Amino acid sequence: MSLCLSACDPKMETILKKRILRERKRSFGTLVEKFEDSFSEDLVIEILSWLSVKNLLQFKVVCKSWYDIIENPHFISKHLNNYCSRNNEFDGCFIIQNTITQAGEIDNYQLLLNDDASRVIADQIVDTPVSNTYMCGPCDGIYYLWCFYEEHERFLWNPALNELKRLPPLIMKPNHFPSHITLHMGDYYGFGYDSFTKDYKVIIIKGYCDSHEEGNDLTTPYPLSIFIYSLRSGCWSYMGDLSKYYYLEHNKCYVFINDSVYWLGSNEYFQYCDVIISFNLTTNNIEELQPPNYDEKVEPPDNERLVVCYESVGLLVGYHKKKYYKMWVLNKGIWNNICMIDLSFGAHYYRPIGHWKDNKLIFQVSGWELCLYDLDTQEVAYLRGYFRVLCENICAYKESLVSVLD
Amino acid sequence: MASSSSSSLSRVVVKSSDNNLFVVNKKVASQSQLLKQCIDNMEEKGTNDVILIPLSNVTSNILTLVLEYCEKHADFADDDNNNQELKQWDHEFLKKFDYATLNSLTMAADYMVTKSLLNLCCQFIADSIKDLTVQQIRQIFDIKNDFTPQEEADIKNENAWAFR
Repeated sequence: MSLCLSACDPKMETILKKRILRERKRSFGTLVEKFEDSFSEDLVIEILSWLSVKNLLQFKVVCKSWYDIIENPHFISKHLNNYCSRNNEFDGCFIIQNTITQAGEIDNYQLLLNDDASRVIADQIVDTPVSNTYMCGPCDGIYYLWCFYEEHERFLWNPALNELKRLPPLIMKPNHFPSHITLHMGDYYGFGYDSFTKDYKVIIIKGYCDSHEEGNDLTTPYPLSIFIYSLRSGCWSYMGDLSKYYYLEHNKCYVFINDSVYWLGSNEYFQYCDVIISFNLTTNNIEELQPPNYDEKVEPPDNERLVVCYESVGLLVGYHKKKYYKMWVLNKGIWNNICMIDLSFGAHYYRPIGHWKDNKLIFQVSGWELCLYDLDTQEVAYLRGYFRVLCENICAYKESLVSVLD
Repeated sequence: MASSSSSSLSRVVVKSSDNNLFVVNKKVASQSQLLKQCIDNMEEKGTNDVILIPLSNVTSNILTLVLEYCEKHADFADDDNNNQELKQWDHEFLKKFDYATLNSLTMAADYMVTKSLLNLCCQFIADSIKDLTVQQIRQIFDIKNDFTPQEEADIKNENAWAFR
């Protein structure tokens, strides 16, 4: 006797379908008695390296040898190369950070897109373990969190493993200035992987303030200093200074690609980009790069944002009146204007939020709607079904078994 | 053919464990690193005889499948790897096998060092076991639980949220 699904109400239908599916799964387990020839440990490793983090945490209890495989660092990097880089069930997933109050409180939403990335099919609140934190990353499934309220605490977070590591307080620059000169409370940050020492590192750029001056949250024009936190050593180190002071807009200017972290800086507050600061994690080399040579007097840009574009660092320069963006890509020290993004078809203003993956850029349209621009196909997709307040930041969602704890 | 170089082989003969012979052209055989290595070695020696490669671990049934895969992939060897048609073909190719075949095919791909087929098989197996319970996993992989109940409970506790 077969069940007639159409006779049921839609809710019932879903439940029944689920039940049939569950039944099939159960029979599958009994139908297949076992694999006739048992797989060698190497083959078990190959198979397990294609499973999700959640599955692997569940399958740790299968037996001691599986437990050892899943805990092994070589397996963890194999898993990064296999499941995490390809065929990931979170392929259509990213995290959006929204500012929800005037005071700058933040909420985080995880959005899941349909297969052709044209529609939001599910969204849910992401409970960051610490509230009101700016997030950057991910690098191998790890995110850096900076809490700008009160204590200015810093964390590393692996959401798939449910692990959080609180970083120790930032150190002071050795032999620095007189005691009334202290670190400014704002952080400019980045997070990446040093492929040479195989270590994850947080990079902080800090300015200074003078407690003798009125209002000690104002920065003094001392050159900015760079500090690094190494996950392996668990310590901060001072790496050196930039040539001068720059204004950096935190959270909007960071990009990590090809072992280097990049930020946008300007000589004056709220001015066009005058410099692109880069820090190479393997060589510890600090560079202050010239931005592309666009003539802002003839055509002043309204918006600039660093993005990852064709596996290199890209600068997206927006001209709101004419409703287009120019994409510049840094290649062997030279900026090339690779394309123009034409957004003149709508009556709206498109604010770039960031890049997601595979040359996909996310804009927020003035009616709070999100819009996805594909650099390869030049297609624009409005992400219907998702309207929120002011969106500040976007991160891809990635999983990994890489632990941030000791 | 007069134009073909005298020191270069165009075909090899592969022998399965049940003593069946398969004539395989070089481009197809090169999809397997094991066969490619044999061909390269023979070419270095400058032989122009057709070489025979015995595969003592692979039955004719399974060898037929591996060669079917290699043939398809050799056709696409010059295309870029992200070919949608090839991906679709891969999926259809694996879909029709039962577990016993998948089991042997995975082992043959490993033995013949056909990395892309091995990855494909492992992904396919991973996909089909991901919704199984721990008990079912032990059953199909024929694994004996060597944890004490206390140890098992401790590990489950550590990762409690993953069992929700």
